[in-house]
Amino acid sequence: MRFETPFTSFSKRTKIPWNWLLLPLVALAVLAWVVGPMQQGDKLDNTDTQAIMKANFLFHFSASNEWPAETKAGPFRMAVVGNERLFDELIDKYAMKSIGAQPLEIVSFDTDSDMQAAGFFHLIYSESSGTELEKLALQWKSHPVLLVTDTESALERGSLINFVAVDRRLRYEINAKEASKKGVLIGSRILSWAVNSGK
Amino acid sequence: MKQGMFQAQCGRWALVFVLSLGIAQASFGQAIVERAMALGQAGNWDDALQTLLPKMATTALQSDPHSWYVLGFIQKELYKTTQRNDADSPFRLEAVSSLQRAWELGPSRDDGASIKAALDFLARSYLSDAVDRVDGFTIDSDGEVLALFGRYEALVKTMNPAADVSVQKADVYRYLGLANGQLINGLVGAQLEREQTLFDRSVSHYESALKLTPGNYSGLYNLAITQYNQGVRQLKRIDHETSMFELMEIQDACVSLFEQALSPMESAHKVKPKRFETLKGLMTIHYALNQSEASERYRRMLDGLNGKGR
Repeated sequence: MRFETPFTSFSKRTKIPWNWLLLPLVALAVLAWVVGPMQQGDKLDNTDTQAIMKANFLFHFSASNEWPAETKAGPFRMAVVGNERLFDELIDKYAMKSIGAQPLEIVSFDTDSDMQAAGFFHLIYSESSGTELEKLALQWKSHPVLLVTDTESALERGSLINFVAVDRRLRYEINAKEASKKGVLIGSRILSWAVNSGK
Repeated sequence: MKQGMFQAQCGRWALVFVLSLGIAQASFGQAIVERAMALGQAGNWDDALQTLLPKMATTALQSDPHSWYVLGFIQKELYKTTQRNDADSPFRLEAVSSLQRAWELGPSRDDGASIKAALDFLARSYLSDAVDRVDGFTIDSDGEVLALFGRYEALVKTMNPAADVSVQKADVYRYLGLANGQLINGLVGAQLEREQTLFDRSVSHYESALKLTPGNYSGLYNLAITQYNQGVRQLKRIDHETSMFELMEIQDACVSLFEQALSPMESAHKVKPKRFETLKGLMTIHYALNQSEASERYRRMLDGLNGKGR
């Protein structure tokens, strides 16, 4: 009996090619054909995870601390130096949001020196380290500027808030006393989440 | 003496009667089968079924492998002609049952080969249906795909108990993992519960695949990506309305997912140490876990590849 064409000889028992052993191969081929192109699966999400976290922290640093009254006219100005992806994240989610009565203005710079002619900023995030950072801190020493960084020993070099990795998480350390001297009062909520607020 | 001879004579007649009855029944059964076959040859599969099926309960046919084979063949043809697009086709199920019965009863050599071929066809039809469901995967159809593959697997093992379909099964699981992951990307708006369900299913499918084929590169890599991307998905929900407390909670959840992703990604890297995407994955996961030194180490390895393996 021919199996696929039963009309030819239903009762005549002719032998058929025995393809049973080929079954696994056929099945594999079918699956490979369908699944093969998709084996690679989902693509890795290239979103900058640290930028998302930092952007939200910076927004909270802006919204939950207190600046002197003379800085409350006009927009609340934030500068981001040397981190384009952080700037993009801030623009995407936080630009023109209100900091008190002030609209948030975010500006990006490649280097600290590019920022010199851009006027006052309430908050500066810079990725500078070492003497560059010291220079930046010195430049804004007598102004109520919250300098935020992400580098080792940054508080010793004049930063007021520095991002640190603790237990695989992004946290921050604060130099609240120095901030206070400059006229920036660190809010209790910000202090409570800092890993080191004693300085 | 005469009475004894009479009794013996009666016994002989009874035996002849019983034998004749059996022969008559067998002939009757054979005639039914032949009639059904003729109807089938003419393409009247419905009539063929109606002719044979009601008689299958008779003693002569019930234990006849050829009759069961013919019945299974008719049911298979009815499946092909009327229920081909029905994954739950009753005719297909009945055909499988009849053909398996024929096989168990010990068919002739020729019938045996045809039964195998018929079961082969039906097994492939289940696999084909499973592949179709996988190809046009829709939400919540995991069970349907696995059931169809399960029938395929059962049939293969009916004919060859030593058959190993674990590689194919792992492929199906892997694809289900991928399909669920892709459905998450297609969700519109905040459907957190649905997203979590799909994510859990995706991970579960990948884990099932890895149990069947441990050390499979695609399974390990895709599992890691699924877990990592789910963490990023949580992070992306952070906005100006997220409180510090919520931020910390989200970060904890993400770190947990990134940590889960790290293990399979490292295993995938061990399987294929020169693969670009795995090195990139490790670099990215360590970055997300704020482990800058480890991230940099993999970045340097990527640089060392000079684009090889892309």
